[in-house]
Amino acid sequence: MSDVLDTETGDDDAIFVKRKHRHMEEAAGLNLTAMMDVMTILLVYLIKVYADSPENITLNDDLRAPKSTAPDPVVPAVRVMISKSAIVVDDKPVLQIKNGEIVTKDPANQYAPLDTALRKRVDDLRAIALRTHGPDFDGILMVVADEDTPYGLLTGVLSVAGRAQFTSYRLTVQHK
Amino acid sequence: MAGGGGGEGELNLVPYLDIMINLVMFLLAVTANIVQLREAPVLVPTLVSGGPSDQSDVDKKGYLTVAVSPRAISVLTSYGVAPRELLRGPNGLPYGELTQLLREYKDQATAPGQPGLKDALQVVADAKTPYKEVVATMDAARKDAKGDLFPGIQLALGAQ
Repeated sequence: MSDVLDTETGDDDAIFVKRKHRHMEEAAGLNLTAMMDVMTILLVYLIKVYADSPENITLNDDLRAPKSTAPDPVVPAVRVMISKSAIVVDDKPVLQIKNGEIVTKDPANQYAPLDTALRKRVDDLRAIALRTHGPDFDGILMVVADEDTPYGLLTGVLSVAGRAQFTSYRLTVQHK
Repeated sequence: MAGGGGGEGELNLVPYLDIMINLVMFLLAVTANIVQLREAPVLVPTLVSGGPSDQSDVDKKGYLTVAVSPRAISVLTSYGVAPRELLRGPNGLPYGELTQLLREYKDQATAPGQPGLKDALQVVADAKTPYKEVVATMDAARKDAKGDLFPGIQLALGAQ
């Protein structure tokens, strides 16, 4: 705006001085080195925080673990998630849930898909351990259940897991 | 050097900064949603059909069973003390009272000359009881201000 006014008055020298001054300011520029340092430190910190969470579980309205004073840290293991809408074994949905009950056409064998998925997971882990000469399947099951899950559904899942040779159950909760 | 306003012979940091800022924004958004998780180990559930699952140990040490229902928390003993029922109040189930009662039972049973109590507490709940109430019961039974109460929790399953 001031340039326009200057042009209108015909003061070319003033315009030149002003533009030169602005150019010098731009040449001095922002010192990016300090900003780079801050950003790099922040990035490393955030990556470390992200990597340190042993199980990245996204909690939302569909799956909100109850709060508890349980002291044990999370141990990575085969994971069964019981949300308001599904039962998921290692990120693969196996059963659908509605109003706390399993949606199935065969109520007598309503846990059959879960049983199959858990047994397959155990077989896979045993096969991997055999091929890699690693530690054998430890039988630990990590259960992440929504806080409103009915106890009957939870124990139904644990019962099926027991038949699939899981011998140690760990209930995942939010730290209070 | 193309674009970015870098000086002659200098590294053009602007695209790099763009990437860094995007990465930081992404990680901040992700880490904001990470909640601290913990685990509550439970002992292997047993199929109960009215009787205790481990008969051999019952004769030596007593054990407690906590039954959670929408109406109340009941505490039952294996050694003949009458069951106690803690009714739900306006603020929900009385977990504080449960802790006090369990401490009372534990102190009585572990007094000199008494047979003692098993460290594991059996928890059973009504099929409709929300999981969060079972977890809160486990928390109430785990420890109090004096120390550990029942660090081991055994979830009881109904026979299926």
